[in-house]
Amino acid sequence: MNDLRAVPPILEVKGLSKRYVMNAGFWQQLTRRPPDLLHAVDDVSLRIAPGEIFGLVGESGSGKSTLGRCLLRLVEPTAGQVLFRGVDILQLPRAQMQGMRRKLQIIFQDPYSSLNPRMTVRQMLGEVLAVHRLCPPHRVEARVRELLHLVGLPADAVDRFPRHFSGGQRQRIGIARALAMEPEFIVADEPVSAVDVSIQAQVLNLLIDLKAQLGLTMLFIAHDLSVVQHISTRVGVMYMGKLVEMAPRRLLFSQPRHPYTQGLLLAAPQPDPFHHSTRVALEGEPPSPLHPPAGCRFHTRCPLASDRCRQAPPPLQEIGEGHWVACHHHDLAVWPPPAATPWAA
Amino acid sequence: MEPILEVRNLTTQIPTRRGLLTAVDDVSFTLHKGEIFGVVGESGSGKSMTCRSLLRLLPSSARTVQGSAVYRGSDLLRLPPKAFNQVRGREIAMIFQDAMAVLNPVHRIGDQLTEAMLAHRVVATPAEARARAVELLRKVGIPAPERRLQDYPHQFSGGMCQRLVIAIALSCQPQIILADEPTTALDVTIQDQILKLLIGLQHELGVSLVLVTHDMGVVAQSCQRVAVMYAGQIVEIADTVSLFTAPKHPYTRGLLACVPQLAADGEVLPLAPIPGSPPDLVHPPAGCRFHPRCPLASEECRHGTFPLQQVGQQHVSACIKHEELGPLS
Repeated sequence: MNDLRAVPPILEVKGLSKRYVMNAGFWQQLTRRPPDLLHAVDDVSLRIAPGEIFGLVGESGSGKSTLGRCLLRLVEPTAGQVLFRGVDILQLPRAQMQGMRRKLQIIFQDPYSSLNPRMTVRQMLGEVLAVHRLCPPHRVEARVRELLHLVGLPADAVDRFPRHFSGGQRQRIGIARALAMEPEFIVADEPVSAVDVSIQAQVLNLLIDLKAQLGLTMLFIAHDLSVVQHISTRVGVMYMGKLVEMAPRRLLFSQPRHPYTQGLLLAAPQPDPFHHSTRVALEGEPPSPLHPPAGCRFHTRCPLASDRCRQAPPPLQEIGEGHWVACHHHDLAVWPPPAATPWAA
Repeated sequence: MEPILEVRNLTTQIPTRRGLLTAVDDVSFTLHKGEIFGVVGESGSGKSMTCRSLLRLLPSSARTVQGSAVYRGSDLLRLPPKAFNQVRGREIAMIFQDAMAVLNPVHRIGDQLTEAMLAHRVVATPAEARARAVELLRKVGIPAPERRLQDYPHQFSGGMCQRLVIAIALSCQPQIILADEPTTALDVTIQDQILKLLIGLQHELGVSLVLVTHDMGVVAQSCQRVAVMYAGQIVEIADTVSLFTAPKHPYTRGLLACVPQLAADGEVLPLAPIPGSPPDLVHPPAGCRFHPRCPLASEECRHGTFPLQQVGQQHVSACIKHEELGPLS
């Protein structure tokens, strides 16, 4: 990890928070009750080095997508800094942000709603090239074909509309659109969650190839641990708006130290019929984000929770090289867990 | 093993503007008493439509044009509507993927839980139905069941709604439960809870369960036997261990190779995706439907039909070239 730290990060997030004001309606004003606050992302800091794929994993409502969108200012954060090559993009005026957007791109989850149904592939890709003046008009056609080739679509795709493509092919168009800008940083927000497994593998392999070919730096958001493990060089785990663990891939999956990360790993059903457990990996459900529990937010579900956890929120601290954990009892979290009882045959 | 449901040559078609779409194509399988039988496949493979055909819960335009489904000596597909209503919900229950959409938002949980019991007369009085409802809620792990009977579905989380739907399915003590992607809409830790609840209940009550899923992990963790569907057809049926250790169809093989697996040491192997995409079911390819994507395909795969044939004990495959499949790497 030392080498990683020596390189200046391409993107650095410092104390990023996004709060939503809920129920600030007429009734609340009339009764002078303070509106509810939802902390979607709460004081998250991380740095991403050039050439890294940083995997961000968490369940629905953990704030992973909000964090991804804050990095591109698609959602305006409430507090914190997002430094892109040392420049805080949150302070940039609109006009300068426009130029910055070329360097920061996003691939969306849903390849059906993120493409304009009335535009052909040529129009879609041609538009981004023209708007950002990325190539002279006479070169547009050639560049569009080059992009299609890059993402593995046939050349005759240029004149077709999104409805003519399958889910996996649409996701390739979404990727081509992001790549058209020659971005320096890409947020991939659950890019393979909406497609079938046979197509998911195609898209994952494409992203891995493109990373090697173009040296892409990426924040890869997913709820599926095995997908994140597959593509990432470093992984962060989020729970209720907080980053609870962060480590290089191998370390995170071989020696997870946060009880939540461990629970996630145990809960994922593995395609291995010899590997069974009847024990539920994590009991309970996440509490309401409007009234998060005091202390550690995970304490209501944590098998190791103590009084300290109910009072003081644990800070994210470095416990090994590049391995960060926010848990008071990380030294008690045994991994691998004691042998699970085999399922009666 | 005693068969409880025998499905033969089930075929369901849906007319579309482009022509007739065969969603379920000549599907045959036997469900044994007290087992968990998995039906796995990608979207559009016909796994949900198979379940819906059996319970006559198809979209209005769809028609089951052929086949039989024999349960206790009578063919479910030919029972007159009145007799069929005695079976559906009572003898054979179904659990759907989207629990929130299944529950009626304007009725209390208690009423929704007791409705089927009272309609099928499995309990004599409303009071008895309520007592059973409380017991059911406790069984599926809903805390403070007496109080929760008064609640509405919006007061429950997604996971709790799925527990409720399971309780409703169990309310008439069915012999068979068809569970259509019961955990797909849930987060992974909740999915784990619901799956283990379902397996535990199945074990305890000895009910026969058909578990429809797209997730090979869910299959490996819960099923005794599995059918793999592709483009409306069953291409392979085997016991779970054989399916995962010695698959006899290139599609099954391909599915296993493209699922990313968690590795304890954090090391990853490259994925081997299946090239291409599933066929259009209005104009499916002639011959074996998998041949355009199949690494073993040859001239003989492009014509004719490919019925399931015995390839091992309790193991059938539709592939004529299954012997060319090498051992799993």
